Amino acid sequence: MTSITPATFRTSIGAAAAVAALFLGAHHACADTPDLKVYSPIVEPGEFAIETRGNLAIDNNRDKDGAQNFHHEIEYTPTDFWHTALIGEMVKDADGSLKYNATAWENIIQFFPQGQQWLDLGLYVEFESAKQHGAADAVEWKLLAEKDVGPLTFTVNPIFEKEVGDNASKTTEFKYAARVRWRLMPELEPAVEAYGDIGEIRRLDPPNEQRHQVGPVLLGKFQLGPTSALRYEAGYLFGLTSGGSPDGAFKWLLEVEHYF
Amino acid sequence: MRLICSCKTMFRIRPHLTLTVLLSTLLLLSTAARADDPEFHLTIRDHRFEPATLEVPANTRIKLLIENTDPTPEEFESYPLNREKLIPGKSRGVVYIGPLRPGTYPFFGDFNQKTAQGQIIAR
Repeated sequence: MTSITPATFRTSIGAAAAVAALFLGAHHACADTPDLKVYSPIVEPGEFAIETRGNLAIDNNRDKDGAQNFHHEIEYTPTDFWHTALIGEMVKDADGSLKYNATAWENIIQFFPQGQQWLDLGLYVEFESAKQHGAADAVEWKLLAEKDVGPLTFTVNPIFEKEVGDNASKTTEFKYAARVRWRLMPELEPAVEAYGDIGEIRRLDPPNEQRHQVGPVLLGKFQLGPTSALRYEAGYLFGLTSGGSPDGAFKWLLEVEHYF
Repeated sequence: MRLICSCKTMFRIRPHLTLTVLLSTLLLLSTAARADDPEFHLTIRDHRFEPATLEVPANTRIKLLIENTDPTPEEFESYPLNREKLIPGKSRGVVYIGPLRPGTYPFFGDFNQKTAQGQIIAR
């Protein structure tokens, strides 16, 4: 009888999730209020966490100024290769009020132990149930790639997102998130992050209507106790296109972790 | 220009096929065959690393097996090595390190920093 190794099992789950996401297709209602987070493929077994993050758009144009996006998550990492989380997303359009937008279930599969391969790889798959009238559900998947070079860590997330279900109207969209992080000390890691949304891959948005943002971010972690920690991220992103990006955006993240 | 046109055509024809090929290529690149990595062992006992000093070959990637015999979790952490690995209580974890230049690389247990201290010496 053929035995199944943990690595084979992990790779099989990752491949199955990738195929499922690809064929279900992989956006949703609020493209104007993006989620600004870079995901590492590395997961920490036994971690339970509560996270809140958000961003606020700043622009001279009233159609973009003041748009906000918030994610509140409960996370758990049951194994050394699988992380899962339940997410509540709230958004505020520039001229609207804050609304509950969607409930999502995210999963990260880490393909290999950290450092085993030349490139650390993982897969992020999210199923999102829209809560606003007329909005479409969505499936999103991201490839999580990370590489250490000296004191720097480079992380890249190509992102594919597709509306599904009754109200779906868009084909697969392509976005990206990327970061280079300087591992200065646990409490303070300076980074530069970049985010973008180029539109549907069958019909890309005109360059000026695409969203491209880049800017400095600070990250860090403080111990709260023997097995607890507080992580933070804070930064400001500059818009690189006048049509599709806000002039600037504040982003922040707070996470309380506990390890079992 | 020709390359851009080709990519656009590919996406129009089979976006999912294109993405599958992209993913597969990255997976293959990251799993390129290579020699087995030498294994080294660390044990966490009473919130200390045993051995506290581990000698490893320089310029060689190593596989570090860490066994946590304590009932509480510990986090193997090293900024010089760029590794942060959580080891739940009564369990094991694997960390790949290097290739390292000759030198000394300190590490510590994040949850018990007063006692859980160690170093890897690459020769």
